[in-house]
Amino acid sequence: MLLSNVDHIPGREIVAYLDLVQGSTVRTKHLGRDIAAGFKNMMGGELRGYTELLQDARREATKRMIEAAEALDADAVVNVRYTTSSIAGGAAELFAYGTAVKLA
Amino acid sequence: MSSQSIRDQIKFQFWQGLGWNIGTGLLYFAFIMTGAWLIGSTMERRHLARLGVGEDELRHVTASNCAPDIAAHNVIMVSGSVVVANDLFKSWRARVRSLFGGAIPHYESMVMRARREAILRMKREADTLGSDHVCGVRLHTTSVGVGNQAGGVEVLAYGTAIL
Repeated sequence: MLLSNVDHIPGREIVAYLDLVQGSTVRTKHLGRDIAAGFKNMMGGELRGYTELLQDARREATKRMIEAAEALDADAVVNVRYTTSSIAGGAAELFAYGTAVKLA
Repeated sequence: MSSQSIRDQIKFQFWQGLGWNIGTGLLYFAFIMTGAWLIGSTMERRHLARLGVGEDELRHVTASNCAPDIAAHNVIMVSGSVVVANDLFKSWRARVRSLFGGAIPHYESMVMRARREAILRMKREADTLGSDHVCGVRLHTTSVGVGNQAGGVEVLAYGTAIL
């Protein structure tokens, strides 16, 4: 599955636009990480635990989006966008969406 | 004496037993703030130095946020993200500043650092794949809460690496 976040696949021709596909996941961090990040927050700098957590979640959302595209028998997903929104109580939703297309 | 005032007195004695009067309270505050300021600014300087080195290393990887119509034999989406927090001293100064309004330079520098780091990580991923151009780059900033306070910022940079 080819992914691109511009409206075409450079060097390839799109023959059909299938449908909007999306994948999302809502995650929250566990207490241990939260406490560690709280200490780190006093000193500033990168909160590595959170970076990894959000990356994992984003990978999961992308995977679900790709599964949706595969179900449509698509060759690629173009115009992929990511959004993050914090839902109450330290939970975050990671959302990926794009357009599933057929390539020539 | 009412039960309320007895409770207050017990509470007062408890804190006094711990050495918490206003003077020592201020001393603790000053101690923690100075520590946070020293560690925080050292870490910021180091981060800026690391960013400079990394950006020099990856100068051959370019990025754009438009969609070029160029020939490519493969495309792969790449991304880089980072969560950065300010130290306690700077958060506190920002809180004081927000009473009067105006620019908060410490937060500006934090967000800019995070953005540079995210772009750098994205370019590094493209570089490992053997690409030297990332097109259609999007930048995305979210505020991240630590515990029950909003402390950090997450920056995500993503784009399409041309191979």
